[in-house]
Amino acid sequence: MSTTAKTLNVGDAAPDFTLKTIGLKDVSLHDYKGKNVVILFYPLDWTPG
Amino acid sequence: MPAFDQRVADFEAANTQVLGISTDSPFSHENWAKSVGISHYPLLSDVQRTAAKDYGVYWPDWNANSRATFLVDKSGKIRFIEKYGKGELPDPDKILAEVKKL
Repeated sequence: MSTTAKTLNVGDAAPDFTLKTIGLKDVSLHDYKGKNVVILFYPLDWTPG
Repeated sequence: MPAFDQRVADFEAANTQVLGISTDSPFSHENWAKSVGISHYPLLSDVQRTAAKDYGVYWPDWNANSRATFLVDKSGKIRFIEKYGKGELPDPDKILAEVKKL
């Protein structure tokens, strides 16, 4: 078994997710089917940016 | 990312949803969003680190995710990826230009 972390590449299917947002509402990637989605991963709240 | 909050209308005009993800709780997000002025796009809590691992941006040193941007098109395919080092931030103009290429 490889222990190498998964790497995504351009052209791959975007992995779906369901995560909680403010107010504990669930938000899933598939909620936005038919739209483009920009996903901004940022390290932690209270870090620059 | 307050820089993106101010540009959400431009992304919406290009049929594009903006999402922010970190490993913080929704309660931390709420305080941070209020403090820095993010109110036009959702901040999601990847508390289990599953999205970070699925997208290959898990950062073990901090048990968090590193900084990265993914552009997903209407059919669910990744069309643009940008990863950032220390002190680097995503540029809304650059990301919007990538959206407009789709």
